Amino acid sequence: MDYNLIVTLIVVLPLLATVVNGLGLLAGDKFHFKTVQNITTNAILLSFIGSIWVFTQVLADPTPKQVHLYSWLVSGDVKINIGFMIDALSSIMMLVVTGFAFLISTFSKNYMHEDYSFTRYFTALALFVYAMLILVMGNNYVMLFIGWETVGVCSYLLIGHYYSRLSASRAGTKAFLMNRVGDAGFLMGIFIMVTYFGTVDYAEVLAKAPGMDSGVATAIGLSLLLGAIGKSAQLPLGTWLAKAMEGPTPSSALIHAATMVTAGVYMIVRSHAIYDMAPNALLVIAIIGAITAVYGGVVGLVITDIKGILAFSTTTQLGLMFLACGLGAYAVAIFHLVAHAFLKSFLFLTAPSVLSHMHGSGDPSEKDTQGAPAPVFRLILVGTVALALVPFLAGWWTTDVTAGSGNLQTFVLVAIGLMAVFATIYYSKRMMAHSFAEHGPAGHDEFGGNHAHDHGDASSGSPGSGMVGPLATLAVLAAAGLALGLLPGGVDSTWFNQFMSPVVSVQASQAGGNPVLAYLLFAAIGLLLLSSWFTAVYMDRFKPELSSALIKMRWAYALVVNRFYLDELYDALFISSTKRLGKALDRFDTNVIDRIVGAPTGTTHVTTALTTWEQRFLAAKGGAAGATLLASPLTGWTADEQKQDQKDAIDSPGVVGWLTGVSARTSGWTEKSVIEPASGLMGSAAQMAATDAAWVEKNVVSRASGVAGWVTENAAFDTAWIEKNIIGKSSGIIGTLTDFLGGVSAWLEHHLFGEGVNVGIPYTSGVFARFMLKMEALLSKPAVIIAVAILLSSIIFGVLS
Amino acid sequence: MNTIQISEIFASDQMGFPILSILVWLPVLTLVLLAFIRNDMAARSLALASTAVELALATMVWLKFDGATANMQFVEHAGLYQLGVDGVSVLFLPVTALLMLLTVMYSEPAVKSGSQRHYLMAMLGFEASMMGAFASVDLLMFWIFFAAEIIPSYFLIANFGTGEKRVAAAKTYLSYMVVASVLVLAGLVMLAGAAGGESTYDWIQLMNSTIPPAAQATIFLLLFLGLAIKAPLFPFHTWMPKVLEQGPIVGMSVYIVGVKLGTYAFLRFVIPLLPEASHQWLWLMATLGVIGIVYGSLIALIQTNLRRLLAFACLAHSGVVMLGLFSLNFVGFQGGLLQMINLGLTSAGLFFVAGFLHTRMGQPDTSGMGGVGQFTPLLAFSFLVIGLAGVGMPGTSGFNGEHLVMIGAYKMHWGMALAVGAGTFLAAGYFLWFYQRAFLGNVVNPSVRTMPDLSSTEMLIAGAMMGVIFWVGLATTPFLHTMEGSLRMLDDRMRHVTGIEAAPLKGVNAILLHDVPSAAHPTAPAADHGAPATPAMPAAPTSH
Repeated sequence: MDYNLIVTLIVVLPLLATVVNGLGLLAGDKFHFKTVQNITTNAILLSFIGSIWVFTQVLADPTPKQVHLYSWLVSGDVKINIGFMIDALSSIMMLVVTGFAFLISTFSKNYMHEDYSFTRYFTALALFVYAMLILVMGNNYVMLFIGWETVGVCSYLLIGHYYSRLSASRAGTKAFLMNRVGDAGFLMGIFIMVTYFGTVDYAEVLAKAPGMDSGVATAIGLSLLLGAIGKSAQLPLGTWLAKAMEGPTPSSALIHAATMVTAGVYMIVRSHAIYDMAPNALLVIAIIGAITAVYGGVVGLVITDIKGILAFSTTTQLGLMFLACGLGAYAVAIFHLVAHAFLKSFLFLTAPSVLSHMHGSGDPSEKDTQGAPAPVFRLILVGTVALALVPFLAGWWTTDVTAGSGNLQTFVLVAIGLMAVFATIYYSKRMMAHSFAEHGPAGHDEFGGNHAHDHGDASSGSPGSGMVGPLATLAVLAAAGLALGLLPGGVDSTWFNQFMSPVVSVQASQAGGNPVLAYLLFAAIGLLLLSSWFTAVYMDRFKPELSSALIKMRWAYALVVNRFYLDELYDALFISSTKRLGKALDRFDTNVIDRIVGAPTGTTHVTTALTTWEQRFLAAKGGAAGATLLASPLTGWTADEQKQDQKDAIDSPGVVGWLTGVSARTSGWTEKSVIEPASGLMGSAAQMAATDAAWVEKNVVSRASGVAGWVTENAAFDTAWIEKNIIGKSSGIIGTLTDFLGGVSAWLEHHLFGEGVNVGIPYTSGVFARFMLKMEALLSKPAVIIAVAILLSSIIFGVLS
Repeated sequence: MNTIQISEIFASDQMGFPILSILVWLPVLTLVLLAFIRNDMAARSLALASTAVELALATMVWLKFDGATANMQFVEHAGLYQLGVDGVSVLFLPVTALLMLLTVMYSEPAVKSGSQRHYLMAMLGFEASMMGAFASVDLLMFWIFFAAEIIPSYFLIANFGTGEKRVAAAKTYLSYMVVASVLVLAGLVMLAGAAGGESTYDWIQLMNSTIPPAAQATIFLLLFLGLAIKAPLFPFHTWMPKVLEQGPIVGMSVYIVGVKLGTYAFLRFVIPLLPEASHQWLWLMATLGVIGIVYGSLIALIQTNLRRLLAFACLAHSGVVMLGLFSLNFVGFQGGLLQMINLGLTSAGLFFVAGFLHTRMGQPDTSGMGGVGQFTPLLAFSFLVIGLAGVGMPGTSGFNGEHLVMIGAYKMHWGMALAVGAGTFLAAGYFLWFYQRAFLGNVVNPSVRTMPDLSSTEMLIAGAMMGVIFWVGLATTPFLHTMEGSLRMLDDRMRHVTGIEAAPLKGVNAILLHDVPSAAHPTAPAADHGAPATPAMPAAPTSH
């Protein structure tokens, strides 16, 4: 078959599945559940098979291939094509995306079986695969962005899957918005790119990148990084990931662990040619990655919610990937990405079984109340400690690089090896949990109904037959992946590096030897050491006797268990102050702008003028009926039909009546609009001095509500002040203009109609009448008649002759 | 300074019949006929038939339109009566016609009290004035339609408004629009006489002559004030929340949020005819645009009433469009224009959805909502899809417009692009937050549980909007081609003023066989044409 056709089909098939399922859903969930699940799963399976084929093609011929579909948007010098680029990086990502999506959709068949919106889930899943494929296969940055945004929407939909739960819908909104902050940066990067390179195609941009200006490279790099931070849940935009666990567990596994969140890493590796020109941007990546890894590790230690632990472990691992990117070890980052996808899907898909022991609460600390066995708790403890250890070791490896020994690969291997060890331990512990599950506590059935969505087969409490297959496959894949991991890692001669070499030929370590980074990493290690020590103490925090020093250190635990209060901080700093600012502006809008610009029909004097005029008009026309009659030719209104709207009619006497005299104020407008505000301003100056003192006292001395609060307060206060002192006295621009127009029309009315017509006509007719009377008087005299007769006859004769 | 002379292509040559006249006067004819029909059902059928024909004709105009040229097309010219469309105006005709068809379809639920017939008549009058304004070439004719729009609007608000204060809102609308019209008239009259020689209202003649920069400033400020009220721009927007909140359920409010006659007039008259003044006052327009975006979005964020929310969102949208237009480069023009079309789909679409909500529960206010999505999944779906298009999701019409505006704005100043970016972020904020409060979460109001989902008419309306949104979003190139010729001409005019380097003209093939744009460009025209006059052109910007 045609290469282009296959590549296109890989993308189109999941989209077709989305459309078909979506239409069925819109038509009222018409399809049988088997049809729905088969459509999605089979479409993804076919894409996966296609991806394998494409992968073999890339193995055979690693040069990047372009597939051009059509020109989507051509605007001046900006042209954006829909097309794909297949190279080592995208083919690996395609395998990851379609492969895991296939496994997870198969798993979901059983898991989501009793869900009340089964079809919605599978539709969103297929859409996600499509979007993710667009993201990794696109041949330009705009395609990347399209996929980026669309996976964001899918993530929003899946986080908020149980949307009647308020926390779920909030988490969805939060994730979307935090990603949106990153997207703004991403877009900025694209625009700089368009301006600088005149193109967004990878091939052209990356070809031109080596010669580019370092300042521009840094600007692009940092802008793109902002996007990556949002999508890959790095600090400071990473707090949405923990909340994203509100979604169904399989979708969390796919989106918020294995694939979507790694899009940031993909983007950085894809753009490495730009980053290579911007060492400062790389340093920032490394620092952000390191801080995030430590943050995730430390918080993961104390989190008691199993999905939370997994989420923070994801955060940690993503931080490590960023760190690897920041050190220029792009191939390592991608390898880590793949290995992490294996590991994390496995952990997530086993989480439901653990949850089933916890009766759906997802909080291991409830074990005692539920009578759950100690092994499960120990299992999680081991997992937690191991997850915390990964950044520790990773820190060691990078420090070594920084110190200049250059033995990067060894330590990469150790780190990845540790992941393997962790996975093995975890897996064996899982087996224990499984065997335990079959002899579950007696109380299980009572709770079975409450958490039906948390595991596929409510009757057994352990993975149903449909889930064992994928789990086993994943386990084998995980083992294989990690075993493979011992082969390549970061060593240049390994097949993975060779495979990736057309994409990331540079194994540079630009940030190497940077003292800031080195100190940062040392600090990180110190913190980790401390944290693991504290953990040892606080894991037994119910022990009665603690040394007084440690009790005093309890705040540290509180700090960590509350995720460093980042959510609260953001809420206080941005969200609530934004809302307050919005409210202040809303008041400002109503009270200030509206009055400055004018509210001609508000309570100010303009209304009176208008009403007066209307009254005069109505009086002149004989009431409302006359006015509506006058208006009727324009609108087809008749007086009869108007009766039902009689009340309105009195208020609105028709457009003609209204338009003829917009307002009838003659003088006075100057006085009210110009003189009064002026005096208002003078008076207000004095008042301002007085209020300022009170204000300083109230806001600065007695309160310290932070800068944001201060700004908001200030805005609100000023609003009130302006409102009181300036607005109260004036009628605003529109009001003034209306007044002016009204004045003009009133002047015209006065002079043309009032004087011209009202005075002129009587005067003229008076003159005329007097003239006529005089004529009459003259004509009554016989001499005049004779004289006129002689005059007329002489004229007539004169003409005739 | 004018490099491209504009001429007329007559409708008789292109179409064979005066299609624009039919577009303008068919609604008027229908309006008159409706005055004699007493049966509501028959009146609706007639209005539906008439608006459907309008849509077909307007689409035909677009399909037959030649996007390669900047000339006025489908021209009918007899004295002052001068109709015609170019790349700037042609797309507004189908959008106006589409919205009108949908509004007429929704007239039954929209008119709770009062006569269907009157409502339809007022709407048809409104359509005629909009069509006339978009199809006018003559300045005075444009103004007449521009001002005529006020009359049906006033009746629609005063008689079919939903709020208690609808009459006051109607008066507010009236007084604001009268002021706007007077200012615009003054500007247009001055414009007619400004070119020197005999005063003319013919847009084409004005385009082909030169208006001295010294005369431009006053005209610009007059037109700016008038159009800023109409658009609306900060701080002249305060009429809009009142009108939208108190006005009819759909009615002409759909056009207020969707079809932006004010911003259109900027692109039609202000920028091409007053290029120097536009460049000189760029900072003012950009500042008002940026303030409008941030200010409107922030206020929209805390609104609980969807219609008020849309009013403030509309202020932000106008800001985005203005930033696109006043980027004064090709991409910016294209983005601004595309964004105007997009607003006709997304904002108007959301206003329809607000109407659906209104007919179900009175004012679409979140205080009475929550968990609505569980019971009306189709309604929630329409809201989400149209809203995400408004937020600028790729694949929808919103993405292209917004991002072309950003690229254009970025070329002018990075701060402008940043403001648009902040706008998209805040837009996502107010939209999703409203969606969360209204459609998701727990049910607070028991009446929500019995709320009916979309009726077949409503499904048709929402489906049509979504269909067009995806159509424009996925196949944008034909729409951009339509604008190409006119905007290229405009860009050419502006380049002499702004000094921004031209975008090299390229076809799709040239794009694939890429060449480096920046270095080779200034010498390229000389090499291509060899005419002595041509190399002088790129030198022109330096003199400004």
